[in-house]
Amino acid sequence: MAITRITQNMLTQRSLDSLQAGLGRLAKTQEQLSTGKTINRPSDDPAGAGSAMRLRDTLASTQQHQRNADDGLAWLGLTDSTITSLGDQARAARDVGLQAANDGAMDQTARNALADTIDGLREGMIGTANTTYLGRPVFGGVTGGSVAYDASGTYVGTPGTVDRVVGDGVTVRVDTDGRSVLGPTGDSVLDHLSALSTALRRGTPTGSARSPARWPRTSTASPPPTPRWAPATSASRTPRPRPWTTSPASRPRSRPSRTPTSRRPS
Amino acid sequence: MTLPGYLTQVAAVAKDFADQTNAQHALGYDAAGNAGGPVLSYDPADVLGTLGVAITDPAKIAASSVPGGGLDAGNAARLATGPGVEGSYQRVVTDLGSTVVESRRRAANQQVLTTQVDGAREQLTGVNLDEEMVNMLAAQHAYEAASRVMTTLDSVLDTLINRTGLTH
Repeated sequence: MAITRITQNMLTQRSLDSLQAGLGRLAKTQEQLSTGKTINRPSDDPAGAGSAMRLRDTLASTQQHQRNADDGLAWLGLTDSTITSLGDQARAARDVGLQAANDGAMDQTARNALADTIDGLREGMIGTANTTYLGRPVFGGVTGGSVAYDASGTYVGTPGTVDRVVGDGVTVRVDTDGRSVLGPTGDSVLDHLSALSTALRRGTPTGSARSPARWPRTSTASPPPTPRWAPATSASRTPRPRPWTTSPASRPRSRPSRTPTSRRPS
Repeated sequence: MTLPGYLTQVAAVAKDFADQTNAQHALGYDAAGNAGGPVLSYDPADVLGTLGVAITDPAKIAASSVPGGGLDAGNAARLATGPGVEGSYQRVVTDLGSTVVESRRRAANQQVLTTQVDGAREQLTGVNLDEEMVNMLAAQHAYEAASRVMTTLDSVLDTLINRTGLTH
């Protein structure tokens, strides 16, 4: 329809309409400016809103993965330092064992003292093996208790894995089974230390009730009057090698130089 | 789609989420080693108004996927990834946004149409000051012309009556 006639009312109405439209655009722009968002409600851009929601979803899970990774890193860091500490203590126990094995002139009092040292080191290792992270023993698997090893050195953890999801479909195991660190029950470092201590107190090399075969005598028919902590037996009486290779069996050649003769009890 | 319809859709999403979470939760075991109970509760007649957490004791969360009371977290990991209602919720929101955009566009179209009709009416019935002024001037001049005729006639009659036939 061609406009044939213009009236004053039409002029004012058109001006008002244009002002209204401009004001509406101003309000929209000011809203975007003050909120800092282009999409303030789904109707601003339905497709964009859908994408934003999916992205927010992904962002949230990625942030959670990051938190999981931080937590797992703390677990693994603590496990790392704990295993280092256990290795140090096992090395110290080995030194004491070598000292006891190499000194034939040692009397029973001295051996008892060495046995006390071994017992102390063993308790220290139990304490270290019960290291907890946020109340959970790092070597205890999924146990709900507070310790992985009880006071007698028995593994009381619950086998299972503590996993941390660090990405879509990516899980990392952050715990370490105590039995893979200290050895299986009955053949663990703690068991062997306890056997060593018992043997020292008895004054015989056959103190181990668990693995007597590892403590061969020189002559089974007629035991020598004095215990023979013969160097030749050291390779077979020690616990089997652990990953950190502190057992004497794994490094027999270094044994003579490491004999702590200066620490011989008077 | 009406607002109650959207409400129903959101309620369905919430119910779906609660059901899936409860189903996955029931597959796990809590800190005491018992199978997980419902973790979200609702009244089917009014899901959105009654949706709530059913358990208050954190130890009742069935995070473990193995019985025995350990601190396993296998079921928690599945709970985190399992119940997937994001898609349906996003669909509800996107539907709502699309509907609003569509309604706005139709409103704008109707506004343009109304403006055109109003303009057409205004063309016929409105007052244009220029026109009125011109018409008024024409009327005024016509009036003045008529007035001049009257004055002239009056003068003619005056001459005829008062100045004709007198003998001085």
